[in-house]
Amino acid sequence: MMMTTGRSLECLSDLRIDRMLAGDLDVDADGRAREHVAGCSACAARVAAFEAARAAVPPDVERELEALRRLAAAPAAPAARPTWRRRWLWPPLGVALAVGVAGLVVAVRSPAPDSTRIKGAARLGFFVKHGDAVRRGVAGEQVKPGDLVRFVVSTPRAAHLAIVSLDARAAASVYFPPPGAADGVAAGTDVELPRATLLDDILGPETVAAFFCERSVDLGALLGALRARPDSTPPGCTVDRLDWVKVSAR
Amino acid sequence: MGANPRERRDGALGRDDIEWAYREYHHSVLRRATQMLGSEPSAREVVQEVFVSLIRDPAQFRGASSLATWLYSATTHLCLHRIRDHHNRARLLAEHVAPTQARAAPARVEDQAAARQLLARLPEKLARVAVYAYFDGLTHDEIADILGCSRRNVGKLLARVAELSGAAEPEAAE
Repeated sequence: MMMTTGRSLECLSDLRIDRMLAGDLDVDADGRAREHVAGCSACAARVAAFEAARAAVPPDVERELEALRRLAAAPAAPAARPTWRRRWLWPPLGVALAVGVAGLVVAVRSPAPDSTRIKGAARLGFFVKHGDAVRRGVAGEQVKPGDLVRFVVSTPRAAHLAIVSLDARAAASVYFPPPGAADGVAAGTDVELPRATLLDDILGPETVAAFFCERSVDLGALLGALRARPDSTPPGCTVDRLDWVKVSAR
Repeated sequence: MGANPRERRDGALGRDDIEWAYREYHHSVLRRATQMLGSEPSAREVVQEVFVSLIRDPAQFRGASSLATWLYSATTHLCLHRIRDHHNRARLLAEHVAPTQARAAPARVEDQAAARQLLARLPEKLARVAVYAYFDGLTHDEIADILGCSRRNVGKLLARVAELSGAAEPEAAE
């Protein structure tokens, strides 16, 4: 197998361009880099592409940083849990998954009524995609590793939302908000959350709790409180819980 | 907004420094991780891991090189870890990489998948030097800076990579 970077030896490396754009080179090195870019169309194009990527950065860096700080403050996950066991599915996924998620969206927009919940109260629902089949989840739903789950929420007023779970090993984890994303949800019925989640391979019952809050919740503190007392609810929040049972895919 | 820690060079990163690093470099961490993993969702997780790790333990960055260099190294380490994970590798190749690349750049699918398979097989240090040379196109001096070794040693490592992969070793620059 041949591997090549496809650029000439005189051209700037990506690292050099990154540092130049960040103002992280000393004066001499910065001057040499900019001189090269001025006379090299290939590097000029790369610099333009890097600058475009920088310009596309979402403006709410403060919020993203705050989310990272909360994650950093939360206890580290047990080492035995593989990092891929629960993965947020971001919009630009591959074709196959994109089709699958699109299928979930279609299903979410024509939900069957759930008569088991109290009308008017904030509530949590979900849809499950197993293979090509999409169904609305009910209490005690049997799900399988590899299923896609998409949550929907109904709330009479806009709220800050946190969806967390306690699985069969009493391990607490976060379904919503995804890292770095906003936690606000608008008022409405069966408001679909923006991302589907791929279920991990931890079998057994799992309790999922949605906290609808007046202000953003400290996720690290919330997870800690749930580990200590699974039925706890932060001040200023209402909670809706549901359960599913994850069974082997075989 | 935080200050550029390059100007201090005392190796002690504060909250403002990490904020500056996130503003200036999180997109490049995402770009590199996406290139290596072929999956933006996985790459976003790597971005998160890199910066959460730095927030948790700022002393990891000792100021021996630029913060950008450190971020390149940390990103490479985490991406290689993911590539080496058997289950994750299978998922990336079968579910994410192939379908995504098939639409975006069909001509490069086989090369990129083969490159990841090679990285999964190479010893850690050789895999890292291969990433820096072939994915990033870094000079031997830049690679030596990241690895904390001599430029001559970089040449030897790349020769070994070429031997194991059948790749053409890039000529030294700078």
